[in-house]
Amino acid sequence: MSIKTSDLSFKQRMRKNLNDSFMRQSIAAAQDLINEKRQQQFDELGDFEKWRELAADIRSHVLENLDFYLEEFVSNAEKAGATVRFARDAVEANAIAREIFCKKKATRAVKSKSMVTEEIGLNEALEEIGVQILETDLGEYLLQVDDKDKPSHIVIPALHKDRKRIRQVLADQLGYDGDDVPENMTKFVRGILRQAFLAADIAVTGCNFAVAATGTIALMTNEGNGRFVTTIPRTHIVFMGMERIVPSFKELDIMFSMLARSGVGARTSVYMSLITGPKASSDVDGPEELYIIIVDNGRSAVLASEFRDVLRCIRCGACMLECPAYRHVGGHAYGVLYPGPLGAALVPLLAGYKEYKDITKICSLCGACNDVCPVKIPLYETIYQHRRIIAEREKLTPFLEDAVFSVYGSIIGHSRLYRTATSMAHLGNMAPRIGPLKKWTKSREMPKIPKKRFRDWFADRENKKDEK
Amino acid sequence: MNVSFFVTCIADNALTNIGIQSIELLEKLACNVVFNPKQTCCGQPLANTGYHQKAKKSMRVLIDSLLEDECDYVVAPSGSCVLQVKEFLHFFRDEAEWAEKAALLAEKTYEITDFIVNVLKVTDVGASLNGRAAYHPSCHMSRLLGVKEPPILLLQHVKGLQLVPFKGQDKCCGFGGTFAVKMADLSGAMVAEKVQNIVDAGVDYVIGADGACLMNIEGRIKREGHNIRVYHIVEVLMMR
Amino acid sequence: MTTREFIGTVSHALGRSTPQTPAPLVYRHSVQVDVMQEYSQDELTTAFADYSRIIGVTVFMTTKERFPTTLVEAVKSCSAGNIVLADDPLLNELGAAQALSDVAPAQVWDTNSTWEKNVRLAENAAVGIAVARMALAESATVLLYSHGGTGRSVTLLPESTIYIIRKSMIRPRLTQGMAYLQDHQNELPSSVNFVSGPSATSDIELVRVVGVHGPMHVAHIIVTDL
Ligand code: SF4
Repeated sequence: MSIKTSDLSFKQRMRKNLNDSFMRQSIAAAQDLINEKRQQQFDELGDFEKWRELAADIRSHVLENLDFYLEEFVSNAEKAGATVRFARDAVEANAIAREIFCKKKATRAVKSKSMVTEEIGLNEALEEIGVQILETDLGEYLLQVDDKDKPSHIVIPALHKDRKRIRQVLADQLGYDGDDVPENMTKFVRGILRQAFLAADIAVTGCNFAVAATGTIALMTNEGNGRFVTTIPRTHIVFMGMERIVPSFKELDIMFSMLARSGVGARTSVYMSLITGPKASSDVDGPEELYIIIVDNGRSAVLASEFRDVLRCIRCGACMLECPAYRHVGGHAYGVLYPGPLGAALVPLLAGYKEYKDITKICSLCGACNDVCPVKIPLYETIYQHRRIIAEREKLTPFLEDAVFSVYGSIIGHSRLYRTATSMAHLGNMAPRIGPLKKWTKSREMPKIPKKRFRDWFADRENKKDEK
Repeated sequence: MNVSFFVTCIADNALTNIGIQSIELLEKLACNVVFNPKQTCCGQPLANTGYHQKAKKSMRVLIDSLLEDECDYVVAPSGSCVLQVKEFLHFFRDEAEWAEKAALLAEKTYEITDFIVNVLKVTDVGASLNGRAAYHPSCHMSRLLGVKEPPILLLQHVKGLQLVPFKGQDKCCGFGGTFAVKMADLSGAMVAEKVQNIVDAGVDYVIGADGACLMNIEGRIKREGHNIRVYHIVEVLMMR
Repeated sequence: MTTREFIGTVSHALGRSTPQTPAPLVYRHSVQVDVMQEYSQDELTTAFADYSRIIGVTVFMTTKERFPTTLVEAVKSCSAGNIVLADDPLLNELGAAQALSDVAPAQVWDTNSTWEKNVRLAENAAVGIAVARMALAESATVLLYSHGGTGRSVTLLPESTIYIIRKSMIRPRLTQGMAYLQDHQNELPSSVNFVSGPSATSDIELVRVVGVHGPMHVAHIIVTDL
């Protein structure tokens, strides 16, 4: 995969997903369930505002001093015995990974869910050199075996699939002959993946957070795949987005507390593994070699821009679960790896306005995402500014739209013109339902425009007063 | 108390009763209300779509017309338009003179329920309306402008009115300005769910404080043919 | 790309040529330390035990003296089969291996033996037993150093895990767990795990299923006089 996940046009994606009633139901149900759990968790914790102020402060502090903390992290990770490498972009990151696989003559890899490896398209890059790389997060695995279906949410990737579909995939692809009860299907996959873990040469993981003071990588999972991949394979490669840093364990506390609660509405994830270097000589199991590949891939440009705050993101997915637009179109409509408000804010920055301008339209500017983001990213403001840049700086809006808005701007920019134009607005009641009117009236009625405007009423009244 | 009334383009041209009832309500609460006919639109449809420069002309017109009468306050029956007016100063960051005027305007501009409750200190305007009502808190007004309590307080004091909570109450109705036409199908899906939830709550009325959202919700209710009346809060507050 | 080049790009993005020592990070609030601050050790223990049960962990309370009996009871509550024990001084002191000798084949993780033998041992075991460094009441979490005699596999491969918890080491929340790590950051093992109950997933229709890759069953034995 890469940032782009679909070849369909924007219109096609919107239409396809709006018509997918199963998907819409399951997204709505997931939103309702997880949002309620998350709310409960934060109510119970109390002081959500204070917690997220702390979290936002920490993330901002890290970003402002990212060069310092990266340097500290690298030096400590190396002290602990890790090999640290740097990648400017996807090509470099994949090249480093391939080099390690070749050196180790490795052909089998297991991976625990990682957004940055999806961003750079690692799986494809490794498959090209004959490496079999298996996703071990259950949701990701189910997508992978379903002919590489794409995730629709960053935390719950298979959100759009129901148990029937999953049973079918397991039956077709892996010869599963059980029923569609989630327990049973999970057990079946457990058996398959356990063999894969035991046979794998190399483990690939992402990194939820990286502790500068100790060179530690923090991995969170509920399923235990994060632990598995760091226990059995002899080589462990970590891909780390360069902004994942926290200064010390003290900050990791706050960040982890927010991530678990925001992500799935739980007090904690089942596992958090803190990996500091490869195994010691006195340890029996664990990887002998630990590589950490730190990836930029557009991040330093974001860091330098007015949108630095977007890099505070901890990939919890709360914004998309809260988003009323995402609710109806689901993750696939965005056609990108990061859907929802995060996607609309981040993707144009990482990968350019030109190709990704349309996703900023999947937003009614309701501001709900701002209220739930655990690191207080101004998502609403960011999307709002993107639209300005798309229209004014990059000039990427259609000519006709630009022209219409110019006319509109002139009308409302002149009192007299406005008065004249609005005095005729009621004639629009008879207008044929074309253009915007047609679009509006597809789902709802148009209000009737009265002949007498408010200002006419007011003027009449003033005149009558004067007459008296 | 002198109040300059900012009617907003929707209430000026389409949902005129909102403007009329606002005036009557403010006068009933002993305000001296002026309306400056030079005012146009706050420019949101342009700004929200990205055309900030094109929107600035109307902002200047609005700033001047609303400041012209030198009233103590500027009051509007829409949280969204008030929010926009309060944001004007960000558009004039490089034009000191306009930024100053915009700041002055921002300071004295109030959404009407906020004004009644927090400036006039009135929560019971003596209104009455019998029945069950769903209150839709518009996003810009409640989340971004932060006016959450005033409309509720006012409605709680309307005799005979029972406020009924409903599923997805605080969710967006799908209006979103030009979003409603640019992304018409998605917007349509959002308002359809909103209306479904309102219908499920078994209410006689939907009440809101933002004409645009009400126009959207009412348009859908009419399309589906439900027997639910849609009111702007000022209309309810003027019922006896 | 070298470290210097990479860090240079980042510095450049931040508008400087080299990293500068940050101004101290100021914590505006202390919400994290306020959680369960006023709890006594007994209250913390109750909270830990209660939340453990909520997340599906079997809880046992015992004393040093009664430990062998409790351990047998705990093992019986788990999946039947071989047992792998961490090589931990406390387990020796409490007589864990002897207690289990009649119950099931129990073997200790052997740092002098090979990777293959040890991993096979854990893979073939139904129950793994290890000692927690600390336990956190808010989330029923145990803090585990997975190194040396407590191999990573001990608490991961068997279907059930039994954690031994010193009552005196039960603390309010992650804040204290992280403070502990910070205090001991010079002797940090290569793998530290915070574990809160059995492995779980909600990836299929958001239905919670226990036991994906890690243990399906977890027991906490709280030793009250430790
Ligand atoms: S933008 Fe905020 S809410 Fe959305 S995924 Fe990132 S941290 Fe979570």
